[in-house]
Amino acid sequence: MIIASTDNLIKRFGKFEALKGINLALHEGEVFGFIGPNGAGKSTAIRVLLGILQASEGTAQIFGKDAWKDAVEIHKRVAYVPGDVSLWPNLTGGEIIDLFTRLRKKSGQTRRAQLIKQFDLDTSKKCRTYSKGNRQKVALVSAFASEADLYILDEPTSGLDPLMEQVFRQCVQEVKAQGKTVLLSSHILQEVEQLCDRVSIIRQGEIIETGTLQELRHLTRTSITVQTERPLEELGTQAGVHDILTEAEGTMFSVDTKLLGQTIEYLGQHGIVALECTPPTLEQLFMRHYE
Amino acid sequence: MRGLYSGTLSLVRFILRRDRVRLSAWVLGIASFTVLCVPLLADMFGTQEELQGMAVLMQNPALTAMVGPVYGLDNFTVGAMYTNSMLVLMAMLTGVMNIFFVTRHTRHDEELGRLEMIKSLPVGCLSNLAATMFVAVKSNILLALLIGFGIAAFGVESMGLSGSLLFGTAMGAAGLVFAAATAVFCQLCSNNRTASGLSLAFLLGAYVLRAVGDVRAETLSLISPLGLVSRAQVYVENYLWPVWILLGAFAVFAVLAFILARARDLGQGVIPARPGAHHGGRTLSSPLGLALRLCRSTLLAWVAVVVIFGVMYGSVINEVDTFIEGSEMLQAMFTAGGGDSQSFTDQFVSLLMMIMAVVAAIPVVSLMLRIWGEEKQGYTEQIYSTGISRIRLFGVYLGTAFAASVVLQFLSILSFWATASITSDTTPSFGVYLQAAMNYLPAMWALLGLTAALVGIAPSKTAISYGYLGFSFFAVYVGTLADLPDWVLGLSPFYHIPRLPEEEQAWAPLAVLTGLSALLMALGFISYRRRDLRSG
Repeated sequence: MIIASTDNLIKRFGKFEALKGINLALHEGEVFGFIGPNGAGKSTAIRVLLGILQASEGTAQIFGKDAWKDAVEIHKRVAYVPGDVSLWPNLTGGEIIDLFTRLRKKSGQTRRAQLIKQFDLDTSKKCRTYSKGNRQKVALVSAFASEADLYILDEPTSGLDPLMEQVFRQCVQEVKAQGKTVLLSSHILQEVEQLCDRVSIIRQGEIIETGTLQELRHLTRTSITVQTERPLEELGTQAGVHDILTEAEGTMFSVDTKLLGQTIEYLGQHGIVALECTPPTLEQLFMRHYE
Repeated sequence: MRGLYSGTLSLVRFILRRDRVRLSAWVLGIASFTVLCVPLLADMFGTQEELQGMAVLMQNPALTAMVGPVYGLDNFTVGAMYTNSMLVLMAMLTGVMNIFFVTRHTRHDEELGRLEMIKSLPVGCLSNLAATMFVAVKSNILLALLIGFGIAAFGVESMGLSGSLLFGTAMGAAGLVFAAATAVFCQLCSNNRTASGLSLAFLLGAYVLRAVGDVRAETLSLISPLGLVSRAQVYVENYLWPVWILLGAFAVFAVLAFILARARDLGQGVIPARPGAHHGGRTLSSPLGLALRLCRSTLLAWVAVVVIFGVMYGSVINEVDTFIEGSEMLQAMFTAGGGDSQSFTDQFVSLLMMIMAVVAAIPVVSLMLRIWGEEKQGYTEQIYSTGISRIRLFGVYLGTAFAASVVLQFLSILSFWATASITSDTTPSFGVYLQAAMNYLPAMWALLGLTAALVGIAPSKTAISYGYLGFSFFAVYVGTLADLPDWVLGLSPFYHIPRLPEEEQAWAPLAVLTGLSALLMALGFISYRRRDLRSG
């Protein structure tokens, strides 16, 4: 079942086209990663999905309802963590968490206490004294303390320390285990790699790649370090082989993942002594689109 | 020691660059208004007799409480009259300019974390405060010169260059006292709202102190910056000593601010912030609860303001009665004009009520604008993402502002009537006063409607609301002194309100204004629902 989707979504600010026809589809129960550099349009797309901005063209839907017209109905089942959390300076973290969870109605006090403890948050401090990481924690606690069907998290871990990032990952995995859907926009590719089932990469308002991590990997190159008994003289002429580097410990090169099989076959003909085969990291994947 | 101030001049240039539009607008705005009122007032009186008649009227305690004492009665001049009607008010406005300027560049920047970036550069620990005060001094000097030469340029007989320069200098010196006092408050409090609030309260306190002082006890006026400016007796005696006292007070406050700034940490106030509640109170569970919580201190402060104004103006009614009884000339004037002394008092009561209504309209506009402030700060999108509709959110702020208009008008008139009836025997019944005050509600709603429509249609232009409110105030204020054309006065909604008890009740203008404001509010609702929210 599709939980959230956009169809040819275009958003213009005056003459500037921030989103140039975006297609997304989130399936129920999946953690969907949304990655791209600053200014690519991640937050704009999320704000259109939340009905904060109105689509110039195309549609955006959540739970099969129109993101703009039925925003209130939709939001009753959504929890949102903005990328840049602004909080009322004269309220305490505890007050704001209570406000948000009460406005969302469905939430539990035990969950609240548990999360505050996990995130190690001092709720009695006024928000003006909170650091960026602590403001982020307030937003995260109030989001995860609410019972939502869709969690929209816009760069939720910026400013969090590694320990808290770990707590965050647990939270995402918990809601996923409950069958909830998560839209996670992030810069931290390691986090996306660990959490997300599927990923979309956005660049300058356009989606340039969508798929599972495995599918994406297929489109890119695998790094190989190999030692063989006989020298690999014709390696450079093999289809799909790039960036050859020969050193004392062996030959290093990268190969188009879809041609991996025939390359290994070629290597086998030369008597493999040692072989190390590294699938591309998301970072390499990502960088490939921006070189 | 020099290290404390290094980089100050670069910061001065930086402040001037950042504020080139805003500060120029303030300085030029105040200066041109002050100067342009000269021909308006100067052309009103032909003969010395007319002037002397005016002089008697201006001694009226209600006017004295409002604008200060009259000097030079023996040989009254246009200059003396001008000073009486303009100086205190203009000094107040200069004070407001300085308060906003200083908070913007000290505590506000500090709260937003901008100052932290500045302080990480090779600049001294006190450089930012020093640069801010330096620019404040420069702006006030510029203002004084513009006004001095500007007024003198009209060549009105009684308003020479030295007197005009003193007029400007008195304004600037009072402005500097408020700038330095604000700098002190900015060191004491750890947040901008409290610091600005205390500074504005200090300004208001200075006004009330001199109002009481000017009517009853001279000494009180001498310790108020706004009382001191009158004591310069501009265009009469042209005394310099009040200016010296003001500059001395400026120096004392400024030194205090620097000492406190040196002693505290960045981001902290001298008065430490207390820890708050771990849990939200029961009210904090709806948009209305949140709005009331956020506006609580502002609302309470304004309740205090309108009650103080009510008590202050209410207490001079008795003085007005005594004043008329004691003046044979006035008695004769009323008999000749077919009126009685009661109608004279009524006229002042009507004027005071109008002024109180304009003052009470400020929080009404600002409560509505709060929804835009919240949106700009990026708070609204989080509220909105919890399943609150835009209509409801807009309704909460519009409703709060609407309720505030009624409550504030009621409290202001209650305190006015209560004080007046205790001190004077001739006060009309509460019903008459209440109706008079409630008559102003449609005018306040028109302003509220305009603000609501702007929030919906063009939120970045919401400053228009305050501009229009400011215009309305000056139309009321100048309109009572000079003959402005009716169409200019008619632009202000307050002009169309029947002024009880002086005039007869008229329902038509009230109905038209109410209808108009309802229309504007509906426009606000519709367009707010349709537009993109601004985020972050």
